[in-house]
Order: sequence, then C-alpha cells, then structure tokens
Amino acid sequence: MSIRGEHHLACSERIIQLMHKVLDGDATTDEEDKLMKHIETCERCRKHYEELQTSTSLLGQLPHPNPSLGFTDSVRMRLPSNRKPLVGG
Amino acid sequence: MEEDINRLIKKIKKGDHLAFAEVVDMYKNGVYNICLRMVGNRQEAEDLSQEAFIRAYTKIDKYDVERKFSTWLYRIATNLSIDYLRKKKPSVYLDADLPGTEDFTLKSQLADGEPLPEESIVNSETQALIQQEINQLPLKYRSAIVLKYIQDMNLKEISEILNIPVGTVKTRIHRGREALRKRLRHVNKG
Repeated sequence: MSIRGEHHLACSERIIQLMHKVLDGDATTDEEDKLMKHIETCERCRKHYEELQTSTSLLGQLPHPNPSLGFTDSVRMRLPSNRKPLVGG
Repeated sequence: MEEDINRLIKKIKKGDHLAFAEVVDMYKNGVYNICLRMVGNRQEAEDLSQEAFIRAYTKIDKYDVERKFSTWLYRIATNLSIDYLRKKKPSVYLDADLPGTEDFTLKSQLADGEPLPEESIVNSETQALIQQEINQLPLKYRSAIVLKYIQDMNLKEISEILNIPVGTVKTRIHRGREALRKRLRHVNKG
C-alpha cells in the first residue's frame, strides 16, 4: 500500500500528495497550476495522475441497480409490531 | 425531503409501518448500493439492506432529528456490512492487503442491474473487474471509497458516517485511490 518506493525518485511524494489534494477539490488554483506544469514535463507523474483519474472515473461508472422488486414488502413483513401481543386469555 | 422525513419519523415512532415503507422506498437504492459495493454480492447485499432497515426501524428512537437521516441510515448500513465481512472473512484479510476469494461473479452482476438513465456505464465485464478490485481493498479504505465514489458523498458526511475525522477520511480515500490505481491501470474503459 505504500506510495514510497513505487515512484520516480526525482518526484517527491509532495507531488503525489498534491494530486490527491486536487482530486479532493482542496487545491488552490496555484496548486493546480503547479501540478499541471509538473505533469507536462514529468511523464511518470502524468501517468500516475491519469491512472488515479481513470480508476476513480471507473468507480463512478458502476451502475446503481435497485434491490429486488419485493424489497420494501419483505422489510415490512419483518417489522416488529409495536403493540405488545396479548398473551393467553 | 428533510421535512418529509421528519413527518414520517413521527409516524414511525408511533409504530406506523406504512410510513416506514415510504422511507424504505426513498432510501433503498442508496442503502442497497452501499451494501452491494461493500460485500460485492447481490444476495448478501439484499439481506444486509433489509437488516439495515429493520435495525433503523427498531432503533428509530435513537435517531437525532437534528441530523441528516440519510447519514444515520447509511451509517447503519456501512457498519452492518463491515461487521458482516469481519465475521465472514478471517481478520487477517481485512487489514492486510491479501487477495480474498471473490464471490462477485459476472452472473450475479448481470442479474437485473437496471442502470439509471443518466449514467454512463462500463460494460458488465469491466464492472465485475472493478468490483473484484474493490473487494480486495481493506475495509477501512473500502468503506471510504464506496461512500465517496459510489454514493458521491462529501468528506464531511463520510466522516459522520464512519465516525472518524475528515483528515482520516482523506487519508483513507488517498490510500484507497492509490491501491485502485495500481489495480485498475490496465482496465480499458468501455
């Protein structure tokens, strides 16, 4: 899971942190510019950033299927009654 | 929506099953998709989602109306999924990054996945592949990633659902993204 060692030596972990900041929408315009400038010249970082974008975009493209048609009814049938049942009598 | 919910919750507290059924209809897709992507299996997700709603019904008195209902409900669903997976798989799997046995098959994915109209959807094979990679994520990263990228929730909401600080949410999402990047880099879109 470690990022370290995986990456190009010349590119500090800072750049990767910056990528995540940009992806989180937390980066300032200046920071975004800094990243864009960097990946223009650094092939490895560009690839890294593109891979991050691709994987999150793939997640976003998963469908949101509905549960079964009888879902709500099944839940309703399993709901406990709030009234205490009369025992005996 | 929040107003509707508060009206319904008053009824639910009095034991109104029909009011609760309305709530189920409103949130079943969200609850189901959290469970589905957490456990990667339709039948298990269906069972867990039902369980989540039943738990919500029985614990409705604990819901604080000042807070967002969906946050409370999704927290129940997420916790149930995590508990379920912890029981199901050996604990070493959960935090170590070991490959597990995958029961998310193409067949189960194809069952009746009815996509929402506006979504651009990857093909079934790719879907199954992405799910397989989600299944490999340790649970703490998986839950953060699912809430962020499947449910499209903001970091604040995720932090409330998972009961961890926003900074920790970010770290988990960063690590989850890095793990998925390595695994999904050879996947072709489409």
